Amino acid sequence: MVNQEPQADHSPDKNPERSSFRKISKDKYILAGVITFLIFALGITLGFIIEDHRYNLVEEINMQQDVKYMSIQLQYLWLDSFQNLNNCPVLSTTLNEAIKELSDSLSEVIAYEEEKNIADERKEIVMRRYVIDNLRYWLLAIESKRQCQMDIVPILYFYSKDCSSCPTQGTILSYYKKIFGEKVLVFPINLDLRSQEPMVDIMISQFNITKDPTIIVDNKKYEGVVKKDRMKEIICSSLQDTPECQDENMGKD
Amino acid sequence: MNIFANITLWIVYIASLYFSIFMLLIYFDKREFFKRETSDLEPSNFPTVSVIIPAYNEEANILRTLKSAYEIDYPKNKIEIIVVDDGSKDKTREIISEYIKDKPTCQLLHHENRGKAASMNRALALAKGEFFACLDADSFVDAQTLRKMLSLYYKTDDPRLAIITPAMKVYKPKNLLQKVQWLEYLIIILISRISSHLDSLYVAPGPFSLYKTEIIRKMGGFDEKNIVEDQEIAYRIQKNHYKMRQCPDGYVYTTAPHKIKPFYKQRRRWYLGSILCIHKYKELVANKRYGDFGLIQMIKNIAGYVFALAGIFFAIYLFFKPLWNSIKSFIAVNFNLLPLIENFKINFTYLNFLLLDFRKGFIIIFIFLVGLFFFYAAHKNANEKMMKFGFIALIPYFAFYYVLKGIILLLSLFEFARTRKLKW
Repeated sequence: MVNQEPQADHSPDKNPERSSFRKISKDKYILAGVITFLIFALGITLGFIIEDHRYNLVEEINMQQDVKYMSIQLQYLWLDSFQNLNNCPVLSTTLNEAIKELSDSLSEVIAYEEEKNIADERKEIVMRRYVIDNLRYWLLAIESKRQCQMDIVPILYFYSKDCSSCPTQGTILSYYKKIFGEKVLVFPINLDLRSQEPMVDIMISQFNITKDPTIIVDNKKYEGVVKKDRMKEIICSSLQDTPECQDENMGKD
Repeated sequence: MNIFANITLWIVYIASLYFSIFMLLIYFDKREFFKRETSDLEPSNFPTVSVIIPAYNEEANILRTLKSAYEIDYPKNKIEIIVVDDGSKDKTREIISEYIKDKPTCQLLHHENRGKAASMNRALALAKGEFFACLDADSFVDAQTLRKMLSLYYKTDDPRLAIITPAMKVYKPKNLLQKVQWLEYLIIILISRISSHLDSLYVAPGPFSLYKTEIIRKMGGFDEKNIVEDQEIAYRIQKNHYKMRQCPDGYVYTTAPHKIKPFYKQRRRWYLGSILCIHKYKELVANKRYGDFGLIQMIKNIAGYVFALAGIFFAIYLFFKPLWNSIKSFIAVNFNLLPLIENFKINFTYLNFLLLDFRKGFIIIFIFLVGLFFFYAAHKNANEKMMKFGFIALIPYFAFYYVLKGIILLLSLFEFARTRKLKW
């Protein structure tokens, strides 16, 4: 009775009423489809509403930043026009404060870069603003360093989204940012924006940037990833008198 | 992430959402069934039943299995037990002989190792029962299960009803892996119950599925070439428009693998076997003549494997790539993380919160909620307390289990592609 080879098929006449019990729950298919679509649509709508809200928030931050920047610029212009070098301490405090706030608020804005959404116009504008803000503050920082002998290291950091070694460089930079605090000022410039923001192009030709990552400290260019120890040397040679540098050097020797 | 990955991810999300909502709708539609579907203990008829126990190298478990089969609550003159020793190399045969020597309703067959399906077929040829049940040697059956199954059979009263499947539970899980499987089996009981109402069951589990002898003989018995004969027979039954039903409280207990390696081997057999079964019965896919089985179940089975593979690629992409990047970064600072940790502050601002991808997040939350509901319903359905094993077992179940399954599937496929051989 039992075959070694199972019979795979049976002719239909053996079971005349074969498929009568098979039912198709068409109403359920449709209902499930409708509910899925509704949830999907709700999710999309919610996404748009939240995105809109997000841009408004960013715009607010940008406006606050604008006012602060104008205030500093005015202070700077003021001091510059009266050639009153004694006011350097005032400037350095405001600059420090402003830059600290900039890096805090802009770190929120930069998170846009990590977002993998398809780019839209508003995002592009936000990114351009970010680059421009960074450049303005960098210029302010090197000017303050030159005129007031402020003990800071402004670092221009060129990177791009597709560069594989940039996260490593980023970690090293934030490592020293944590150690040196407000003395190390990092201004990241996204090279991907060269087609949208002419300023990026100007900087690329000015510093002859060919690789990413590249960092610029005190008008010197360092291409490729700057390793941890080398980075410390660069930072310490730019600073005048820093306990962190001395301590670490002594510990190292 | 590139556009292709994004679209794939969306398809996976939406299809998963669709299937889970569909199951939920069926669940609510048949709610009166689900509330109290306790089976009758007194079937209207007491037909003859043969219990077939195929055993291969099972000296550790066989005695418990034999006892549970012998102690089934059923008239002794209506039940016979056929044990098939499939050429065991250990003491299995001696243990069986010792146990059955003064029990006239039991008999022992023996042959060289030929596989489980061959053992089943040999016993099937001798079986006198109007019904027969298969009982894997690593499992044992509740004494009342047979009565429950038979009363379901006579209540259904359908000549096309060929298989009644049990509700399988993991026996006394001890370590984490077993506890996670215990949870999984509970969910399977509920899903099978829903599938049963849709006439869409596609597995007749090795531990104590009850078959109508006449129909299985007519179909030619079990496929000896197949590594998952319990799935193959179910697909064949479905293909020939016979019916399967689950007995929702017909409990059997099985010993789940407690180590990764046997767990991997078991799953490799299941997954590869079921892919080959789907391939063998591909004409059923999206075939209207098979009703919900063809249109939903077959498509869902295929989608399950495709999604598991897609899931594993995304897990690598979304989790391991950033992990690898941060390891690279930590190497760059010689793992001198103290300054980074000391100054670490959780920068969870309102804006950061808004940066989450809400469109996908919303759908994921919905899938998760439906999953949670099924999780709750599965416990209620199987008459088990929620959090029986505490909270700890839930974490790997929800967080890693599906990734683990995906990895096993991927490894199995690689192995299959390399060796082109199927192993038990």
